[in-house]
Amino acid sequence: MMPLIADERSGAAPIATLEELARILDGVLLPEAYGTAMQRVAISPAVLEPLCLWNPRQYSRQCLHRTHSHELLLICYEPGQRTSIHDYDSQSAWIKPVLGQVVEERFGLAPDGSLVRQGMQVLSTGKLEHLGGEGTIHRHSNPGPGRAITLNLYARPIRRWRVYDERTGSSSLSGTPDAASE
Amino acid sequence: MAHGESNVDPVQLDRVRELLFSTAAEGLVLVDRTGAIRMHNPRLLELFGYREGELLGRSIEELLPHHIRQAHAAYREGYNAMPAKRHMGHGRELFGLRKDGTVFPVEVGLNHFTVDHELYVMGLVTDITERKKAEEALQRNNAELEKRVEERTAELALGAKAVEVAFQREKELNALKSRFVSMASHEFRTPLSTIMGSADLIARHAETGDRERILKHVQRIRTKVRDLTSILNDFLSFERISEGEPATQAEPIDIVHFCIGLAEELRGTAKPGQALEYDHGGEERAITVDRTMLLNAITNLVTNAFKYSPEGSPVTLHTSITNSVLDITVADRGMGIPTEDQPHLFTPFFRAQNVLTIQGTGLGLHLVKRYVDLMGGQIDFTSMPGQGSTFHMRIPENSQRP
Ligand SMILES: [Fe+2]
Repeated sequence: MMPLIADERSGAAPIATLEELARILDGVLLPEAYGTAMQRVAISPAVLEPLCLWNPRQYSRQCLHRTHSHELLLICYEPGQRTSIHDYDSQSAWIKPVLGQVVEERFGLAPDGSLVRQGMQVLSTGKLEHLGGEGTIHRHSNPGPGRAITLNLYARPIRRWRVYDERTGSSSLSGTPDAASE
Repeated sequence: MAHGESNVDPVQLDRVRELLFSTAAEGLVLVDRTGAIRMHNPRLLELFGYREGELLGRSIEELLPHHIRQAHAAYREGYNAMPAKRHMGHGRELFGLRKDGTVFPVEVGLNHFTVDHELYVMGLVTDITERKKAEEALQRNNAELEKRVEERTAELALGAKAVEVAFQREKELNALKSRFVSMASHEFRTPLSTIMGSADLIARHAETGDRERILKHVQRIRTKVRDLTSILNDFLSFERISEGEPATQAEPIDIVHFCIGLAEELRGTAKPGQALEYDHGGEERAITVDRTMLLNAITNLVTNAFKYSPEGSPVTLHTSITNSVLDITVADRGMGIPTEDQPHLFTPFFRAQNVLTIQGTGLGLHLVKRYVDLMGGQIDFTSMPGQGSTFHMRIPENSQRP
Protein backbone atom coordinates (compact mmCIF):
# COMPACT_ATOMS: atom_id res chain seq x y z
CA MET A 1 0.00 0.00 0.00
CA MET A 2 1.17 3.53 -0.75
CA PRO A 3 2.39 5.45 2.30
CA LEU A 4 0.41 8.57 2.93
CA ILE A 5 1.87 11.91 2.07
CA ALA A 6 1.96 14.31 5.01
CA ASP A 7 0.02 17.51 4.69
CA GLU A 8 2.47 19.94 3.14
CA ARG A 9 1.20 22.88 5.22
CA SER A 10 2.80 21.39 8.31
CA GLY A 11 6.17 22.17 6.80
CA ALA A 12 7.83 19.44 8.77
CA ALA A 13 8.90 15.89 8.03
CA PRO A 14 6.14 13.27 7.99
CA ILE A 15 5.71 11.04 11.05
CA ALA A 16 5.84 7.49 9.76
CA THR A 17 5.78 5.32 12.88
CA LEU A 18 3.62 5.06 15.99
CA GLU A 19 6.70 5.21 18.21
CA GLU A 20 7.72 8.52 16.67
CA LEU A 21 4.19 9.88 16.98
CA ALA A 22 3.99 8.87 20.64
CA ARG A 23 7.36 10.48 21.35
CA ILE A 24 6.30 13.73 19.66
CA LEU A 25 2.91 13.77 21.43
CA ASP A 26 4.60 13.25 24.80
CA GLY A 27 6.78 16.30 24.12
CA VAL A 28 3.85 18.60 23.32
CA LEU A 29 3.65 21.71 25.52
CA LEU A 30 0.97 23.81 23.81
CA PRO A 31 -2.37 22.25 22.75
CA GLU A 32 -1.98 23.60 19.17
CA ALA A 33 1.04 21.35 18.76
CA TYR A 34 -1.18 18.28 18.87
CA GLY A 35 -2.87 19.41 15.65
CA THR A 36 0.51 20.06 14.03
CA ALA A 37 1.72 16.63 15.01
CA MET A 38 -1.42 14.99 13.65
CA GLN A 39 -1.00 16.93 10.38
CA ARG A 40 2.43 15.35 10.00
CA VAL A 41 1.14 11.80 10.55
CA ALA A 42 1.79 9.66 7.48
CA ILE A 43 1.68 6.16 8.92
CA SER A 44 1.06 3.49 6.34
CA PRO A 45 -2.18 1.49 6.78
CA ALA A 46 0.02 -1.59 6.45
CA VAL A 47 1.58 -0.66 9.80
CA LEU A 48 -1.79 -0.18 11.50
CA GLU A 49 -3.83 -2.99 10.01
CA PRO A 50 -2.16 -5.74 12.05
CA LEU A 51 -3.20 -3.83 15.19
CA CYS A 52 -6.87 -3.68 14.18
CA LEU A 53 -9.42 -5.93 15.86
CA TRP A 54 -12.20 -6.18 13.30
CA ASN A 55 -15.59 -6.93 14.77
CA PRO A 56 -18.50 -7.78 12.45
CA ARG A 57 -21.04 -6.45 14.94
CA GLN A 58 -19.47 -3.20 16.01
CA TYR A 59 -16.72 -0.79 15.00
CA SER A 60 -13.70 -1.38 17.23
CA ARG A 61 -11.68 0.99 19.41
CA GLN A 62 -8.18 0.41 20.66
CA CYS A 63 -5.97 2.62 22.74
CA LEU A 64 -2.49 2.84 21.22
CA HIS A 65 -0.96 5.34 23.61
CA ARG A 66 -2.02 7.30 26.66
CA THR A 67 -0.67 9.78 29.18
CA HIS A 68 -2.53 12.03 31.61
CA SER A 69 -2.70 14.71 28.91
CA HIS A 70 -3.64 12.77 25.79
CA GLU A 71 -4.59 9.43 24.30
CA LEU A 72 -4.28 8.02 20.81
CA LEU A 73 -6.93 5.59 19.55
CA LEU A 74 -7.16 3.34 16.55
CA ILE A 75 -10.74 3.07 15.27
CA CYS A 76 -11.65 0.38 12.74
CA TYR A 77 -14.91 0.35 10.78
CA GLU A 78 -16.19 -2.41 8.55
CA PRO A 79 -18.29 -1.04 5.65
CA GLY A 80 -21.56 0.34 7.02
CA GLN A 81 -20.40 0.46 10.64
CA ARG A 82 -20.73 3.69 12.56
CA THR A 83 -20.41 5.24 15.98
CA SER A 84 -23.37 6.31 18.03
CA ILE A 85 -24.34 9.96 18.02
CA HIS A 86 -22.20 11.05 20.92
CA ASP A 87 -20.14 13.67 22.64
CA TYR A 88 -17.49 13.57 25.34
CA ASP A 89 -15.62 15.65 27.84
CA SER A 90 -12.33 15.82 25.97
CA GLN A 91 -11.28 19.43 25.28
CA SER A 92 -10.04 18.58 21.80
CA ALA A 93 -10.16 15.68 19.39
CA TRP A 94 -8.35 15.15 16.08
CA ILE A 95 -9.53 12.51 13.64
CA LYS A 96 -7.44 11.36 10.69
CA PRO A 97 -8.56 8.59 8.33
CA VAL A 98 -5.56 6.49 7.37
CA LEU A 99 -7.51 4.00 5.29
CA GLY A 100 -10.79 4.55 3.45
CA GLN A 101 -13.04 7.49 4.34
CA VAL A 102 -15.54 8.33 7.04
CA VAL A 103 -18.62 10.52 7.01
CA GLU A 104 -18.92 12.97 9.85
CA GLU A 105 -22.29 14.31 10.95
CA ARG A 106 -22.63 17.05 13.56
CA PHE A 107 -25.69 17.64 15.69
CA GLY A 108 -27.11 20.27 17.97
CA LEU A 109 -29.74 20.10 20.67
CA ALA A 110 -33.06 21.84 20.07
CA PRO A 111 -34.64 23.69 23.01
CA ASP A 112 -36.90 20.69 23.62
CA GLY A 113 -33.84 18.47 23.97
CA SER A 114 -34.19 16.75 20.62
CA LEU A 115 -31.30 16.34 18.21
CA VAL A 116 -30.95 18.50 15.13
CA ARG A 117 -28.48 17.60 12.43
CA GLN A 118 -26.34 20.63 11.63
CA GLY A 119 -23.93 19.40 9.02
CA MET A 120 -22.24 16.57 7.26
CA GLN A 121 -18.87 16.14 5.55
CA VAL A 122 -16.73 13.38 4.15
CA LEU A 123 -13.32 12.89 5.77
CA SER A 124 -11.20 11.32 3.08
CA THR A 125 -7.91 9.51 3.62
CA GLY A 126 -5.25 11.75 5.12
CA LYS A 127 -7.60 14.64 5.90
CA LEU A 128 -7.34 15.88 9.48
CA GLU A 129 -10.52 16.87 11.30
CA HIS A 130 -10.62 18.73 14.60
CA LEU A 131 -13.47 18.60 17.08
CA GLY A 132 -13.13 21.33 19.65
CA GLY A 133 -14.70 21.61 23.01
CA GLU A 134 -17.00 19.68 25.19
CA GLY A 135 -20.45 18.86 23.87
CA THR A 136 -19.67 18.66 20.17
CA ILE A 137 -22.28 16.09 19.26
CA HIS A 138 -21.26 14.00 16.25
CA ARG A 139 -21.27 10.65 14.52
CA HIS A 140 -18.74 8.95 12.25
CA SER A 141 -19.73 6.31 9.72
CA ASN A 142 -17.91 4.27 7.14
CA PRO A 143 -20.01 4.56 3.96
CA GLY A 144 -17.93 1.82 2.33
CA PRO A 145 -17.39 0.05 0.09
CA GLY A 146 -14.06 -0.83 1.80
CA ARG A 147 -12.90 -0.83 5.41
CA ALA A 148 -11.97 2.41 7.13
CA ILE A 149 -9.34 3.09 9.78
CA THR A 150 -8.93 6.38 11.63
CA LEU A 151 -6.35 7.61 14.12
CA ASN A 152 -8.05 9.65 16.84
CA LEU A 153 -6.17 11.84 19.28
CA TYR A 154 -7.90 13.13 22.40
CA ALA A 155 -6.46 15.78 24.69
CA ARG A 156 -7.21 15.18 27.45
CA PRO A 157 -8.16 11.51 27.53
CA ILE A 158 -11.89 10.85 27.48
CA ARG A 159 -13.54 10.16 30.83
CA ARG A 160 -17.15 10.92 29.95
CA TRP A 161 -19.12 9.62 27.00
CA ARG A 162 -22.72 10.42 26.25
CA VAL A 163 -24.72 8.42 23.73
CA TYR A 164 -27.77 10.16 22.24
CA ASP A 165 -30.68 8.40 20.72
CA GLU A 166 -30.99 9.16 17.05
CA ARG A 167 -34.69 8.38 16.80
CA THR A 168 -35.64 11.61 18.52
CA GLY A 169 -34.95 15.03 17.11
CA SER A 170 -34.90 15.96 13.47
CA SER A 171 -37.34 14.13 11.23
CA SER A 172 -34.57 13.13 8.85
CA LEU A 173 -33.23 10.80 11.53
CA SER A 174 -36.36 9.41 13.08
CA GLY A 175 -36.97 5.73 12.67
CA THR A 176 -33.56 5.01 11.14
CA PRO A 177 -32.49 1.55 12.17
CA ASP A 178 -29.04 1.34 13.70
CA ALA A 179 -27.34 -1.22 11.50
CA ALA A 180 -24.08 -1.16 13.41
CA SER A 181 -25.53 -2.75 16.51
CA GLU A 182 -27.57 -5.46 14.80
CA MET B 1 6.85 -97.67 85.30
CA ALA B 2 7.13 -94.23 83.99
CA HIS B 3 4.23 -92.53 82.31
CA GLY B 4 3.91 -93.22 78.54
CA GLU B 5 6.30 -96.20 78.46
CA SER B 6 5.03 -99.77 77.90
CA ASN B 7 6.70 -103.05 78.44
CA VAL B 8 9.65 -102.40 76.23
CA ASP B 9 13.12 -103.83 76.56
CA PRO B 10 15.05 -101.36 78.83
CA VAL B 11 17.99 -101.24 76.44
CA GLN B 12 15.74 -100.44 73.49
CA LEU B 13 13.91 -97.94 75.65
CA ASP B 14 17.17 -96.12 76.35
CA ARG B 15 17.87 -96.06 72.60
CA VAL B 16 14.42 -94.62 71.94
CA ARG B 17 14.90 -91.99 74.69
CA GLU B 18 18.27 -91.17 73.22
CA LEU B 19 16.70 -90.81 69.74
CA LEU B 20 13.81 -88.71 71.04
CA PHE B 21 16.33 -86.44 72.74
CA SER B 22 18.75 -86.19 69.85
CA THR B 23 16.31 -85.89 66.97
CA ALA B 24 13.71 -83.62 68.59
CA ALA B 25 12.74 -80.63 66.46
CA GLU B 26 12.83 -78.41 69.57
CA GLY B 27 15.88 -77.46 71.52
CA LEU B 28 16.06 -79.14 74.89
CA VAL B 29 18.10 -77.68 77.70
CA LEU B 30 18.53 -78.73 81.28
CA VAL B 31 19.77 -76.20 83.84
CA ASP B 32 20.46 -76.57 87.51
CA ARG B 33 19.41 -74.31 90.38
CA THR B 34 22.26 -71.87 89.63
CA GLY B 35 21.18 -71.55 86.01
CA ALA B 36 24.15 -73.50 84.63
CA ILE B 37 23.47 -75.57 81.53
CA ARG B 38 23.92 -79.17 82.45
CA MET B 39 22.62 -80.91 79.38
CA HIS B 40 21.16 -80.09 75.95
CA ASN B 41 20.28 -81.78 72.73
CA PRO B 42 21.98 -81.15 69.35
CA ARG B 43 19.05 -79.07 68.15
CA LEU B 44 19.74 -76.48 70.87
CA LEU B 45 23.30 -76.04 69.54
CA GLU B 46 21.90 -75.67 66.06
CA LEU B 47 19.36 -73.06 67.19
CA PHE B 48 21.86 -70.93 69.03
CA GLY B 49 24.81 -71.53 66.67
CA TYR B 50 27.19 -73.19 69.13
CA ARG B 51 29.47 -76.15 68.67
CA GLU B 52 29.37 -79.32 70.70
CA GLY B 53 30.70 -78.77 74.22
CA GLU B 54 30.61 -74.96 74.07
CA LEU B 55 27.46 -74.54 76.11
CA LEU B 56 27.81 -77.06 78.95
CA GLY B 57 28.42 -75.37 82.29
CA ARG B 58 27.63 -71.88 80.94
CA SER B 59 24.78 -69.82 82.33
CA ILE B 60 21.43 -70.14 80.60
CA GLU B 61 21.33 -66.31 80.57
CA GLU B 62 24.05 -66.36 77.94
CA LEU B 63 21.41 -67.59 75.52
CA LEU B 64 19.33 -64.47 76.16
CA PRO B 65 19.69 -60.93 74.80
CA HIS B 66 21.72 -58.74 77.16
CA HIS B 67 18.93 -56.43 78.20
CA ILE B 68 16.80 -59.17 79.71
CA ARG B 69 19.50 -61.25 81.37
CA GLN B 70 19.23 -59.61 84.78
CA ALA B 71 15.46 -59.84 84.84
CA HIS B 72 15.65 -63.45 83.73
CA ALA B 73 18.02 -64.39 86.55
CA ALA B 74 15.61 -62.89 89.07
CA TYR B 75 12.73 -64.63 87.38
CA ARG B 76 14.61 -67.93 87.54
CA GLU B 77 15.14 -67.47 91.30
CA GLY B 78 11.37 -67.02 91.65
CA TYR B 79 10.73 -70.12 89.60
CA ASN B 80 13.11 -72.17 91.71
CA ALA B 81 11.22 -71.10 94.83
CA MET B 82 7.89 -72.14 93.34
CA PRO B 83 8.46 -74.30 90.30
CA ALA B 84 5.59 -75.24 87.98
CA LYS B 85 5.11 -76.66 84.54
CA ARG B 86 4.31 -73.76 82.28
CA HIS B 87 4.99 -71.76 79.21
CA MET B 88 7.40 -68.92 79.57
CA GLY B 89 6.60 -65.41 78.56
CA HIS B 90 2.85 -65.21 78.82
CA GLY B 91 1.77 -62.24 76.79
CA ARG B 92 5.37 -61.26 76.12
CA GLU B 93 7.66 -61.92 73.24
CA LEU B 94 10.70 -64.05 74.06
CA PHE B 95 13.96 -63.89 72.20
CA GLY B 96 17.06 -66.03 72.05
CA LEU B 97 20.59 -64.75 71.41
CA ARG B 98 22.74 -66.70 69.01
CA LYS B 99 26.48 -66.99 69.41
CA ASP B 100 26.92 -64.63 66.44
CA GLY B 101 24.93 -61.98 68.29
CA THR B 102 21.75 -62.24 66.25
CA VAL B 103 18.43 -62.43 68.06
CA PHE B 104 15.50 -64.67 67.13
CA PRO B 105 12.03 -65.19 68.52
CA VAL B 106 11.47 -68.28 70.62
CA GLU B 107 8.79 -70.05 72.52
CA VAL B 108 9.86 -71.78 75.71
CA GLY B 109 8.10 -74.49 77.70
CA LEU B 110 9.38 -75.07 81.22
CA ASN B 111 9.33 -78.15 83.38
CA HIS B 112 11.19 -79.09 86.50
CA PHE B 113 12.23 -82.21 88.31
CA THR B 114 14.33 -83.16 91.26
CA VAL B 115 17.11 -85.72 91.21
CA ASP B 116 18.82 -86.51 94.49
CA HIS B 117 17.22 -83.45 96.11
CA GLU B 118 18.67 -81.35 93.40
CA LEU B 119 16.20 -79.19 91.36
CA TYR B 120 16.59 -79.17 87.64
CA VAL B 121 14.66 -77.11 85.17
CA MET B 122 14.16 -78.32 81.64
CA GLY B 123 13.40 -75.89 78.87
CA LEU B 124 11.88 -76.81 75.54
CA VAL B 125 12.93 -74.10 73.04
CA THR B 126 11.14 -73.65 69.72
CA ASP B 127 12.40 -71.26 67.06
CA ILE B 128 9.29 -69.39 65.96
CA THR B 129 10.95 -67.14 63.36
CA GLU B 130 8.95 -68.58 60.50
CA ARG B 131 5.72 -68.55 62.45
CA LYS B 132 6.33 -64.94 63.44
CA LYS B 133 7.00 -64.04 59.84
CA ALA B 134 3.78 -65.73 58.79
CA GLU B 135 1.89 -64.03 61.60
CA GLU B 136 3.33 -60.68 60.69
CA ALA B 137 2.47 -61.19 57.05
CA LEU B 138 -1.01 -62.17 58.07
CA GLN B 139 -1.28 -59.10 60.27
CA ARG B 140 0.00 -56.96 57.46
CA ASN B 141 -2.49 -58.49 55.09
CA ASN B 142 -5.27 -58.03 57.59
CA ALA B 143 -4.28 -54.44 58.20
CA GLU B 144 -4.10 -53.83 54.49
CA LEU B 145 -7.41 -55.52 53.95
CA GLU B 146 -8.97 -53.51 56.75
CA LYS B 147 -7.52 -50.36 55.30
CA ARG B 148 -8.85 -51.21 51.89
CA VAL B 149 -12.25 -52.04 53.30
CA GLU B 150 -12.22 -48.72 55.16
CA GLU B 151 -11.15 -46.86 52.06
CA ARG B 152 -13.74 -48.57 49.93
CA THR B 153 -16.41 -47.91 52.54
CA ALA B 154 -15.40 -44.26 52.63
CA GLU B 155 -15.42 -44.17 48.82
CA LEU B 156 -18.84 -45.72 48.73
CA ALA B 157 -20.13 -43.31 51.33
CA LEU B 158 -18.65 -40.45 49.36
CA GLY B 159 -20.06 -41.87 46.16
CA ALA B 160 -23.47 -42.21 47.72
CA LYS B 161 -23.26 -38.62 48.97
CA ALA B 162 -22.13 -37.42 45.54
CA VAL B 163 -24.94 -39.33 43.89
CA GLU B 164 -27.38 -37.78 46.32
CA VAL B 165 -26.01 -34.28 45.72
CA ALA B 166 -25.99 -34.82 41.95
CA PHE B 167 -29.50 -36.20 42.10
CA GLN B 168 -30.69 -33.22 44.12
CA ARG B 169 -28.95 -30.87 41.69
CA GLU B 170 -30.41 -32.67 38.73
CA LYS B 171 -33.84 -32.40 40.30
CA GLU B 172 -33.41 -28.66 40.86
CA LEU B 173 -32.08 -28.17 37.34
CA ASN B 174 -34.99 -30.10 35.92
CA ALA B 175 -37.41 -28.01 37.92
CA LEU B 176 -35.68 -24.86 36.67
CA LYS B 177 -35.72 -26.16 33.12
CA SER B 178 -39.42 -26.85 33.22
CA ARG B 179 -39.92 -23.36 34.63
CA PHE B 180 -37.88 -22.10 31.70
CA VAL B 181 -39.98 -24.04 29.23
CA SER B 182 -43.20 -22.58 30.60
CA MET B 183 -41.63 -19.10 30.78
CA ALA B 184 -40.20 -19.43 27.28
CA SER B 185 -43.41 -20.66 25.71
CA HIS B 186 -45.13 -17.64 27.22
CA GLU B 187 -42.38 -15.13 26.39
CA PHE B 188 -41.77 -16.46 22.89
CA ARG B 189 -45.38 -16.32 21.79
CA THR B 190 -45.73 -12.51 21.65
CA PRO B 191 -42.56 -11.70 19.68
CA LEU B 192 -43.19 -14.64 17.35
CA SER B 193 -46.66 -13.42 16.52
CA THR B 194 -45.29 -9.88 16.03
CA ILE B 195 -42.67 -11.27 13.65
CA MET B 196 -45.30 -13.24 11.77
CA GLY B 197 -47.55 -10.17 11.56
CA SER B 198 -44.70 -7.97 10.30
CA ALA B 199 -43.70 -10.59 7.72
CA ASP B 200 -47.29 -10.68 6.42
CA LEU B 201 -47.37 -6.88 6.24
CA ILE B 202 -44.03 -6.77 4.41
CA ALA B 203 -45.47 -9.15 1.84
CA ARG B 204 -48.52 -6.91 1.43
CA HIS B 205 -46.49 -3.67 1.22
CA ALA B 206 -44.14 -5.29 -1.28
CA GLU B 207 -47.02 -5.34 -3.75
CA THR B 208 -47.49 -1.56 -3.48
CA GLY B 209 -43.76 -0.90 -3.13
CA ASP B 210 -44.18 1.07 0.11
CA ARG B 211 -40.51 1.10 1.07
CA GLU B 212 -40.88 3.10 4.29
CA ARG B 213 -43.46 0.70 5.75
CA ILE B 214 -41.40 -2.30 4.72
CA LEU B 215 -38.37 -0.85 6.52
CA LYS B 216 -40.48 -0.18 9.61
CA HIS B 217 -41.50 -3.84 9.78
CA VAL B 218 -37.98 -5.06 9.04
CA GLN B 219 -36.86 -3.01 12.04
CA ARG B 220 -39.68 -4.45 14.16
CA ILE B 221 -38.63 -7.98 13.22
CA ARG B 222 -35.01 -7.17 14.11
CA THR B 223 -36.05 -5.85 17.53
CA LYS B 224 -38.14 -8.92 18.27
CA VAL B 225 -35.43 -11.32 17.13
CA ARG B 226 -33.07 -9.47 19.44
CA ASP B 227 -35.55 -9.97 22.32
CA LEU B 228 -35.75 -13.69 21.56
CA THR B 229 -31.98 -13.98 21.34
CA SER B 230 -31.65 -12.24 24.66
CA ILE B 231 -34.10 -14.72 26.29
CA LEU B 232 -32.10 -17.63 24.89
CA ASN B 233 -28.80 -16.07 25.95
CA ASP B 234 -30.08 -15.57 29.47
CA PHE B 235 -31.09 -19.16 29.70
CA LEU B 236 -27.87 -20.51 28.20
CA SER B 237 -25.82 -18.41 30.62
CA PHE B 238 -28.04 -19.57 33.44
CA GLU B 239 -27.60 -23.20 32.49
CA ARG B 240 -23.83 -22.82 32.15
CA ILE B 241 -23.53 -21.08 35.47
CA SER B 242 -25.89 -23.52 37.23
CA GLU B 243 -24.13 -26.64 36.04
CA GLY B 244 -20.76 -25.77 37.51
CA GLU B 245 -18.58 -23.10 38.97
CA PRO B 246 -16.99 -21.40 35.97
CA ALA B 247 -13.46 -20.31 36.78
CA THR B 248 -12.76 -16.61 36.45
CA GLN B 249 -10.25 -15.56 33.83
CA ALA B 250 -8.59 -12.36 34.85
CA GLU B 251 -7.20 -9.91 32.34
CA PRO B 252 -6.20 -6.27 32.61
CA ILE B 253 -8.70 -3.82 31.12
CA ASP B 254 -8.98 -0.07 30.70
CA ILE B 255 -12.36 0.44 32.31
CA VAL B 256 -13.11 3.69 30.43
CA HIS B 257 -12.73 2.20 26.94
CA PHE B 258 -14.37 -0.99 28.12
CA CYS B 259 -17.47 0.97 29.16
CA ILE B 260 -17.45 3.22 26.07
CA GLY B 261 -17.36 0.08 23.89
CA LEU B 262 -20.22 -1.33 25.93
CA ALA B 263 -22.22 1.91 25.66
CA GLU B 264 -21.72 1.89 21.90
CA GLU B 265 -22.90 -1.70 21.69
CA LEU B 266 -25.90 -1.25 23.99
CA ARG B 267 -27.26 1.86 22.28
CA GLY B 268 -29.39 -0.46 20.13
CA THR B 269 -31.33 -1.62 23.19
CA ALA B 270 -32.40 1.92 24.16
CA LYS B 271 -35.90 3.22 23.67
CA PRO B 272 -36.43 6.38 21.62
CA GLY B 273 -34.85 9.33 23.33
CA GLN B 274 -33.07 7.32 26.02
CA ALA B 275 -29.52 8.60 26.34
CA LEU B 276 -26.74 6.67 28.04
CA GLU B 277 -24.36 8.82 30.02
CA TYR B 278 -21.12 7.25 31.07
CA ASP B 279 -18.51 8.86 33.25
CA HIS B 280 -15.47 7.68 35.12
CA GLY B 281 -14.24 9.25 38.34
CA GLY B 282 -10.58 9.52 39.28
CA GLU B 283 -7.34 8.99 37.41
CA GLU B 284 -6.99 5.19 37.85
CA ARG B 285 -8.42 3.38 34.81
CA ALA B 286 -6.68 0.00 34.80
CA ILE B 287 -8.03 -3.06 36.61
CA THR B 288 -7.60 -6.83 36.27
CA VAL B 289 -10.95 -8.63 36.23
CA ASP B 290 -12.84 -11.32 34.32
CA ARG B 291 -13.78 -9.38 31.18
CA THR B 292 -16.69 -11.60 30.10
CA MET B 293 -18.35 -11.73 33.52
CA LEU B 294 -17.98 -7.98 33.97
CA LEU B 295 -19.37 -7.39 30.49
CA ASN B 296 -22.37 -9.64 31.18
CA ALA B 297 -23.05 -8.01 34.54
CA ILE B 298 -22.96 -4.41 33.25
CA THR B 299 -24.85 -5.32 30.06
CA ASN B 300 -27.67 -6.85 32.09
CA LEU B 301 -27.96 -3.85 34.39
CA VAL B 302 -27.89 -1.29 31.55
CA THR B 303 -30.39 -3.15 29.36
CA ASN B 304 -32.69 -3.52 32.40
CA ALA B 305 -32.37 0.21 33.06
CA PHE B 306 -33.43 0.98 29.46
CA LYS B 307 -36.19 -1.58 29.58
CA TYR B 308 -37.79 -0.44 32.81
CA SER B 309 -37.55 3.31 32.05
CA PRO B 310 -39.82 5.30 29.78
CA GLU B 311 -38.84 6.78 26.41
CA GLY B 312 -36.64 9.83 26.73
CA SER B 313 -35.46 8.88 30.21
CA PRO B 314 -31.66 8.80 30.56
CA VAL B 315 -29.60 5.99 32.05
CA THR B 316 -26.29 6.69 33.75
CA LEU B 317 -23.29 4.42 34.15
CA HIS B 318 -20.55 5.51 36.50
CA THR B 319 -17.25 3.81 37.30
CA SER B 320 -14.29 4.50 39.55
CA ILE B 321 -11.32 2.52 40.84
CA THR B 322 -10.09 3.02 44.37
CA ASN B 323 -7.45 0.86 46.03
CA SER B 324 -7.82 -1.83 43.36
CA VAL B 325 -11.59 -2.04 43.84
CA LEU B 326 -13.85 -1.25 40.90
CA ASP B 327 -17.12 0.51 41.73
CA ILE B 328 -19.86 0.48 39.11
CA THR B 329 -23.16 2.26 39.42
CA VAL B 330 -26.06 1.95 36.98
CA ALA B 331 -28.95 4.32 37.63
CA ASP B 332 -32.24 4.95 35.90
CA ARG B 333 -35.30 7.12 36.47
CA GLY B 334 -37.70 4.35 35.60
CA MET B 335 -40.55 2.50 37.26
CA GLY B 336 -38.53 1.21 40.24
CA ILE B 337 -39.06 -2.01 42.16
CA PRO B 338 -42.01 -2.53 44.53
CA THR B 339 -40.71 -2.65 48.11
CA GLU B 340 -42.22 -6.07 48.80
CA ASP B 341 -40.48 -7.54 45.72
CA GLN B 342 -37.06 -6.16 46.54
CA PRO B 343 -35.90 -9.07 48.78
CA HIS B 344 -36.53 -11.57 45.95
CA LEU B 345 -34.89 -9.63 43.16
CA PHE B 346 -31.93 -11.99 42.67
CA THR B 347 -34.00 -15.19 42.79
CA PRO B 348 -34.05 -17.07 39.45
CA PHE B 349 -37.26 -16.58 37.43
CA PHE B 350 -38.53 -13.99 39.88
CA ARG B 351 -40.34 -11.08 38.29
CA ALA B 352 -41.56 -8.04 40.13
CA GLN B 353 -45.31 -7.42 40.07
CA ASN B 354 -45.01 -4.16 38.12
CA VAL B 355 -43.13 -5.72 35.17
CA LEU B 356 -45.28 -8.77 34.46
CA THR B 357 -46.52 -7.26 31.22
CA ILE B 358 -42.97 -6.49 30.05
CA GLN B 359 -40.95 -9.22 28.36
CA GLY B 360 -38.32 -10.82 30.57
CA THR B 361 -36.97 -14.12 31.80
CA GLY B 362 -36.49 -13.30 35.46
CA LEU B 363 -32.96 -14.58 35.07
CA GLY B 364 -31.02 -11.40 34.34
CA LEU B 365 -30.48 -10.11 37.86
CA HIS B 366 -29.88 -13.60 39.18
CA LEU B 367 -27.11 -13.95 36.60
CA VAL B 368 -25.67 -10.56 37.53
CA LYS B 369 -25.52 -11.63 41.17
CA ARG B 370 -23.85 -14.91 40.25
CA TYR B 371 -21.23 -13.16 38.10
CA VAL B 372 -20.52 -10.66 40.87
CA ASP B 373 -20.21 -13.51 43.39
CA LEU B 374 -17.85 -15.39 41.09
CA MET B 375 -15.71 -12.28 40.75
CA GLY B 376 -15.60 -12.03 44.56
CA GLY B 377 -17.61 -8.80 44.57
CA GLN B 378 -20.80 -7.45 46.05
CA ILE B 379 -23.98 -6.01 44.63
CA ASP B 380 -26.70 -3.92 46.22
CA PHE B 381 -29.40 -1.56 45.05
CA THR B 382 -31.77 1.15 46.13
CA SER B 383 -35.08 1.66 44.42
CA MET B 384 -38.12 3.85 44.80
CA PRO B 385 -41.23 2.73 42.95
CA GLY B 386 -42.04 5.30 40.30
CA GLN B 387 -38.73 7.11 40.72
CA GLY B 388 -36.06 4.69 39.53
CA SER B 389 -33.41 2.24 40.64
CA THR B 390 -29.70 2.41 41.30
CA PHE B 391 -27.57 -0.72 41.24
CA HIS B 392 -24.11 -0.67 42.69
CA MET B 393 -21.42 -3.34 42.20
CA ARG B 394 -18.05 -3.50 43.93
CA ILE B 395 -15.57 -5.79 42.19
CA PRO B 396 -12.14 -6.37 43.71
CA GLU B 397 -9.14 -6.69 41.46
CA ASN B 398 -8.58 -10.36 40.62
CA SER B 399 -5.33 -11.23 42.36
CA GLN B 400 -4.62 -14.21 40.05
CA ARG B 401 -3.03 -12.07 37.40
CA PRO B 402 -2.88 -13.61 33.94
FE1 LIG C 1 -16.08 10.87 18.61
